[in-house]
Amino acid sequence: MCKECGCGETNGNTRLQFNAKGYTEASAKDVEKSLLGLPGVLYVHIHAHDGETTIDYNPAKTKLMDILGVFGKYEVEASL
Amino acid sequence: MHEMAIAEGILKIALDYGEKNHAKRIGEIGLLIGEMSGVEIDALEFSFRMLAEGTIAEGTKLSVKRVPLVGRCGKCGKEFHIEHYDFWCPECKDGVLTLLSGREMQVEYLEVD
Amino acid sequence: MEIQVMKNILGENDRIAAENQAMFRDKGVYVINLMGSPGAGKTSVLEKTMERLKGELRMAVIEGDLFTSKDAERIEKYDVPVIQINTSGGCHLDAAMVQKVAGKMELGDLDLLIVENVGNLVCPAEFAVGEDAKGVVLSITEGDDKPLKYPLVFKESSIALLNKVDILPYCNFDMKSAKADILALHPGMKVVEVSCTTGQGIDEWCNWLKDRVAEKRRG
Repeated sequence: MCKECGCGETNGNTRLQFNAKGYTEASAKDVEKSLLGLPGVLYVHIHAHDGETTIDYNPAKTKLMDILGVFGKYEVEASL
Repeated sequence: MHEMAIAEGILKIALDYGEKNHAKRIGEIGLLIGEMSGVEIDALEFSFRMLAEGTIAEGTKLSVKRVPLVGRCGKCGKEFHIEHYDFWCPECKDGVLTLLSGREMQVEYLEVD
Repeated sequence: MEIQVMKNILGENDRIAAENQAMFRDKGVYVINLMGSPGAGKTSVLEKTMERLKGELRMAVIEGDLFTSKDAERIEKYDVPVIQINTSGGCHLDAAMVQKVAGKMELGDLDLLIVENVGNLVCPAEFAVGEDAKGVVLSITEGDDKPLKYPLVFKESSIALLNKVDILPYCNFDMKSAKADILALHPGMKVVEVSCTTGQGIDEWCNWLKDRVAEKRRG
């Protein structure tokens, strides 16, 4: 939603912060790219060294299962 | 096309109202669909059936009341069925038709057990 | 047991956008909603488009701005039907605004209708107006970090035009990085480098439009 003018979806986006184990420098970049490619995901930030993963997404467009699926694909263990 | 978005909207309303009324099963959903929306009922029913699987709306019948697109001319006052989105009066020059019906897109009622 | 509901299925804007879509489908017009920041080059791209496709496609334009009819006046010079919508402060065009003016156009005589949205990389992406596709114009002068900062408009659009590439040598724009970010947000998105000054990329953009028009006609 546009906070300035108030226009847009009123249910808004969800921000999740995961603690993830199993990133390498390379896999962190791949996971970021894969997550960002999901239709409802708007923002991803991964700290490869401590596993802190922040995701902003629209749950109406992308399900949590799809996000967890990406972690699974790259053999990353993510918990909230 | 957008029949899927409409089916999602219908399912959400049906499940909300069904839950509030402790429904075990939704037998029928009554819909008012105006002609102006251009909704294809077959595509809508197909999308809805797919989405409703596994919910209390599985197997629910969609009863669609189609509302015709009718307008009244601001000049001559006569009412006409609007064809092909042509909002000019077929009889008067420069007469514009104000819409009386045909823009509805609502869930009218639910039949539940 | 019968429960009276009487509830609208779609949000108001989506409902009107659906009506517009049905109307455009009935008239056989392909509609694209063009978005971008103020100064990205949306109107310039349209001027080049009018020049290039005149005679090949029957076109019309709906211009959206807070104030003035400057953009409509630029398009008028190409002898193409154009209507200006002034929002008087509204930051985006919505379906109702487009429905009001589209009713005044001879849609049956058109192949392609281009809606140039208000200059804004944020709000327009949230409001369908009944288009077949959205497009975004990003000027390379805006910076290569913009796609990640404005993800929704890139995810929602079917095509991105990276404009003003003739002055790439004078800017800090990392083309490879920007394209990688755009494709990360929207895998498979069509991205075209264009310049309204040199004409680069305009053919590719126009051919894409022609293909979309033909596709809708067939479909």
